[in-house]
Amino acid sequence: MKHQKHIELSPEQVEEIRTHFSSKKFKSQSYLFYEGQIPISGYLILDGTIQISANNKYKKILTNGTIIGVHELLKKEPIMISAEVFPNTELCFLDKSTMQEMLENENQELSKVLKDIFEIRHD
Amino acid sequence: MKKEQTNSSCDQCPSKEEGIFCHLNFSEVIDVSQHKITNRYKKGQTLFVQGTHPFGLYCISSGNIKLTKTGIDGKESIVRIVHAGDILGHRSLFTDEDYGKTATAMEDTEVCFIDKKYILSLIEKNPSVALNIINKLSRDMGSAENKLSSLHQKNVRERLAELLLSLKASHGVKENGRWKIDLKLTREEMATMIGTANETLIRFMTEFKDAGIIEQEGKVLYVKNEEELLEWANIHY
Repeated sequence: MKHQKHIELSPEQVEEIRTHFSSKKFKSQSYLFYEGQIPISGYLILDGTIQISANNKYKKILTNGTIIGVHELLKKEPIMISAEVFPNTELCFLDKSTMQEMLENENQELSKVLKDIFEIRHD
Repeated sequence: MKKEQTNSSCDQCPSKEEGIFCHLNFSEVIDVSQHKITNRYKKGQTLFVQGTHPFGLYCISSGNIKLTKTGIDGKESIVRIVHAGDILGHRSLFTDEDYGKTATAMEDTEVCFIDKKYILSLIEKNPSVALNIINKLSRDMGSAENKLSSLHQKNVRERLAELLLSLKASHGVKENGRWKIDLKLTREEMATMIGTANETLIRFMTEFKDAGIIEQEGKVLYVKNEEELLEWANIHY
């Protein structure tokens, strides 16, 4: 299993994911998940920023093309960071049901991308 | 590090009998349990924020959550307090509108989340789930209508008495002949719930205490005389 702090996708991969999942712009500042929780969705940043923190300390800013929370959502594992989204950030929401359907459908091009993402978790 | 995540099954949920999945058979409940995400929220943490987009349904397993609406002046009002067995986000989910309120844990709570696609497929297969959601929506609408008419027709004393009765009914625990309401609401929060100023609320709370209707120990409220409170609320159940 690959261990890395975040996953950056190519523009082609971003477009591929975008066509299959819903995306929305955040009007308000909001926590996507808190440290120790299981994310309720995977998140792909389309435009904007997410702040990552752990133990109440700032860690880093994630920007466009970064995906977060997929492995933990599908494996039901807690994520050891908190993620806060800033206003006007556009995110793509990778819901569990759609991802599971895609992972079961080997013929879809996106299922290969998701399988790679699925293997990567956040430390 | 302490992990906030839990792995509780719907079958073991303390609010099972009051939830929307109470009519499902054992295998269906197991399927929901496997699909849902269960998380613990600490006091003050938000489940969702006003103006953000819903993409699933929250089921409260334990604890109390306040729903607040922030006005253009930045002032926050408590619209509703939900507890174990209640669901959250269903109205916004079905209308596909952004959340109209912010949900914040009032204490350490356990909450399950089910994504929209799964809940819609579950409703197609099990109409009882839809009926239970309609039941909760109807109750919420009834409460909202009552609250609206109270704001128009009743004075602050009556509205405060009504609020205390409603909190007693939803969160009260009988203890030594009185009803304990352990929500630890601030006076400011209570004032927003009945649409009055802090100072006015404090004045009427003192009046209620002097009349022996309620007692207060720290932030914990006790209803001592329910019948008198009904009189003061000017309602007859």
